[in-house]
Amino acid sequence: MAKILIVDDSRTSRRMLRAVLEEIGYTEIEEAVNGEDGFIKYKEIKPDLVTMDITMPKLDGIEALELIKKYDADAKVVMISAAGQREKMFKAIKYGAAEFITKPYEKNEVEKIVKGLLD
Amino acid sequence: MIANIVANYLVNKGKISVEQYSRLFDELTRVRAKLGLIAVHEGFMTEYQADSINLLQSTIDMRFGDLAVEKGLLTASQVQELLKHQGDPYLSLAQALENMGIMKLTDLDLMMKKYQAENELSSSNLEALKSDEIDRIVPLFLPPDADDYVDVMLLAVKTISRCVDGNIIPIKAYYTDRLEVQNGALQFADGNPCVTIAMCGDGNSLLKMASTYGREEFPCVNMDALDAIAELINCITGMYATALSANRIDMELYPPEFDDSVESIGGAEMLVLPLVVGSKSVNLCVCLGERLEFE
Ligand SMILES: [Mg+2]
Repeated sequence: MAKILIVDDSRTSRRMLRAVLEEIGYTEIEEAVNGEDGFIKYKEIKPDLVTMDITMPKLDGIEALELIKKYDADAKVVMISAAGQREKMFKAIKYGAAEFITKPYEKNEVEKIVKGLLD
Repeated sequence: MIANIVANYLVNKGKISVEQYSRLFDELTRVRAKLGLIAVHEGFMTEYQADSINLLQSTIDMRFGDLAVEKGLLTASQVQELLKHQGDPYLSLAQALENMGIMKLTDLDLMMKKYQAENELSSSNLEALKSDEIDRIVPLFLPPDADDYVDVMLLAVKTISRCVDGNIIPIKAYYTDRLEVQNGALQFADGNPCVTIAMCGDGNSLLKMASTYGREEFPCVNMDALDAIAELINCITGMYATALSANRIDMELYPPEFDDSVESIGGAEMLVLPLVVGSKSVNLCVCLGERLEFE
């Protein structure tokens, strides 16, 4: 079973994404509450996939993505954003983000992207 | 939205009880405006004439339109014209009120005239309200010099209406530089111009919004409930940023802030649009060009 790490500062957003992931069959899920926590947990857990919120305090999603990709070039990181923030998207692509998911979550979109990367 | 706005007004004016208010929405789910009511609304016949056809109809097995044509009150083409209005939201509301024995169309029209005067609405404003189109209704509740605020307010109301409560009621918006509130969430986004979007309440007024959006029963408006409100605002700010990015304006979203014990929100002039959500009053506060803070 694939392990997924949800990195998001919002408890509500983590709960919503967890519910969608569980619904599509992923039950090994860990959570981190900001970019810094996400990087620490990544090294600890070595998840198969990371969902990374962009807007977060401490380290934001872009900074955490950069750290994770430096640590593990093969890391699969899906960026989560509520907005079409072009600058941030360009940076995320530059640092090696695998995909983008926009909030609010739509089950079909999450399923297509996550399964596409894990199967 | 028209049904909620008008029904809320009728409750405030003591024309309907709270119990009738909730029954009205049940009635609205099954009602369609009848031809007689539409004919009166369109000025094709008087209420008395419509009533007499209705009375006749109860003794003869004929449709209202056919009877009215036979009696020379309507032409066949007028009947066809009236049939097109059966799904009209305002007329459906009028029909529901009439079916419940609360008031006739002419009484409702009279109340709408009062509402129009109290809210300083023009005739075209009133037509916009009756259209039940959210894009036309929300601007009616904003000050005349608030053009810059229309897009963001509309986006917020539409999102709340879609994700939380379709029966949301807007109240007239106003500018202020300080609003006393007890709890809330806000998000600042830097750009040109920058924007702060906030949702604030008193006591448990934000509870329904938090529980519905967060899909979780919160016991009260605590920090977890406000996290859900913050996430809702995050989606609104995000969609606003997406809309602006189409015009090559880039926004930098900051993490939302929320607090369950504040005295006010302020720091700059903001536009406050009070909303009734699930019978509770909440405040949607937006500031273009500056950052708002909880105090
Ligand atoms: Mg976030």
